[in-house]
Amino acid sequence: MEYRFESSARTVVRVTDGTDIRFIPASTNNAEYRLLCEGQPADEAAGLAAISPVTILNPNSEQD
Amino acid sequence: MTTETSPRLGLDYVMAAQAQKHVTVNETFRRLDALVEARALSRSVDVEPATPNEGEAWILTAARSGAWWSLMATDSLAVFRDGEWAEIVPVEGLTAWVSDEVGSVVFDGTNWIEASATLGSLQNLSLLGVATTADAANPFSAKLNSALWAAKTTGEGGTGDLRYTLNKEGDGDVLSFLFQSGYSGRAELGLIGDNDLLLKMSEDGSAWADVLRISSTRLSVPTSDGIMVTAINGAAPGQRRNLIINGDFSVAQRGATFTALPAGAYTLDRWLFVSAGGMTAGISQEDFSPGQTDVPGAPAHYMRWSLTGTASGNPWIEQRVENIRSLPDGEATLNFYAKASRALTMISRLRRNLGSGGSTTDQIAQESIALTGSWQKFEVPVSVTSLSGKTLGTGHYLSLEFYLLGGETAVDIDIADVQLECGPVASRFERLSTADNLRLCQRYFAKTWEYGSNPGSVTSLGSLLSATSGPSTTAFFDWRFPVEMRSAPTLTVYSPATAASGKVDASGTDLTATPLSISANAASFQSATHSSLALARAHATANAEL
Repeated sequence: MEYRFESSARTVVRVTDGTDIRFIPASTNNAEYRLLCEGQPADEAAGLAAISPVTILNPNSEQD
Repeated sequence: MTTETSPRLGLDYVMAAQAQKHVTVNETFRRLDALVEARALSRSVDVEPATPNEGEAWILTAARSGAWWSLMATDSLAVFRDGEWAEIVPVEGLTAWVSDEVGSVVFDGTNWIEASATLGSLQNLSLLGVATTADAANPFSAKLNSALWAAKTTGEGGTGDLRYTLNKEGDGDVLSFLFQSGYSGRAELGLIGDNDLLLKMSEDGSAWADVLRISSTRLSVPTSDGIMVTAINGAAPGQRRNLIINGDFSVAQRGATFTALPAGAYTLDRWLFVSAGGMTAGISQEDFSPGQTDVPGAPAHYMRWSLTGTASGNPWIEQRVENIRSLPDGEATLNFYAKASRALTMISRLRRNLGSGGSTTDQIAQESIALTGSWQKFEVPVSVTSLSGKTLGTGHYLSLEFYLLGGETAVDIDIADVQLECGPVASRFERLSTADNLRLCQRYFAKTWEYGSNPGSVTSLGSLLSATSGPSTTAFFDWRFPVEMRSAPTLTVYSPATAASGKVDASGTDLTATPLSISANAASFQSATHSSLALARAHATANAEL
């Protein structure tokens, strides 16, 4: 899974696994963005593994 | 004749051949004069009167004093006759009128007591007036400033209860309390001409209005101004009571059947599949048979949660209710219907997630739900604690959770009509119209496909329309959401021609989509350049779940 800011404005994160593509607003009000940034602790009772925060890559326009 | 005096009143007998019989007879007359229709001026005077009148008598006190009285016994009658004092010792049952008390007293063998205290019963009185005169119109009449009916306590040999029974002869008769002001009726409450409990009100005692009527199945308020209340079941009148959205599982924008669900997947609208707990899980929207009566209110759908395998963790679904303030501190109630393919225990739990940067999550209710093969209604009381001292972070929410314990095996669980509401009463399910229900769901999830067509379907119906025009032959799309969403949503764009995500269709060619802006009320995006002018279409979903 790749997480990359869509543009230098860094207002949207493009999430892709090579097939599916989603655009996540870079807002803490967006639950998916919060999960990207903060991750989630494990819940052993529920059998849920911890989710680590991800690294969001710079936009392609800023590479090199 | 064996004695010289009568056994009870001690009256002297005239003896045979007695001389001066008149002396004996007169002495007996004197005692009878004092004892028959006996009258004492008082039973609370301590000092012997200096100048009593002939025939006057007193009941002597324990603190009596005086040359004669001090020689007599307490409770004796001191009678002044023929210019001197005489003592008559009372016998049990002697009754005397006491002038300064305006009442009769009886000697019980030890003490003088009020005669009224000796009444064990009053039977078949035709009139009874208490401080007033009863008459034929009001055979029982009382004129008082207060009245008390108190239960006989268990310590007194009673039950502690007080049941006041009023009975009328037949259904068409009247049994009521009439409340008057200045002897003009203002309110009447009772079974008035039938067996409904009716409250009538009047402003003048002649024109009456029915205000409240209660039958065995209905409470109605026929008064012209209707009912005015500050709250209904703990919530503002007219406020949507159910905090759960899509509690009847009627909205299914993402689809109606989900199999092999991954953790964190949304299913029927607003319902999050949290974890399979090591099992294989599916969620589906099922239909109730028309006319079924197991679940009242004619619901159309219920949710089936199918699990196979064996749980190593907690299989778990939940709904997240935006804004924990929506359930203020105090009493609340969760109620729902459920059954299962076999008997098992499901846990319902209500927690408060105080959001990113907020206080730690707390639990406000948890209940074990014993499911059987038949639909049952479950009511879970919730005691909502104060948020005082808590820090609210971003995206705080209530989570209503249903989960199973580890070790459970394959089962199908059916759930219907889930309602979480303020107040201690589990009220009838608040069934919304399809339009209202869908609109509430669209605050959290929206799609361009028409309802009934799942996201990712290959169809142009409902798609956004543009064209690859302009100098760069780029198509621009602007999607106004059907309702303002909870937050700027996650946007996924699909080609209507191939269902490929991140693409738009330009008359048969998929072009890469790039977002331009995403806000809570709209999203815009553009396609990559195309070789020529072409009609362009795009589908999209917007996800603003908590």
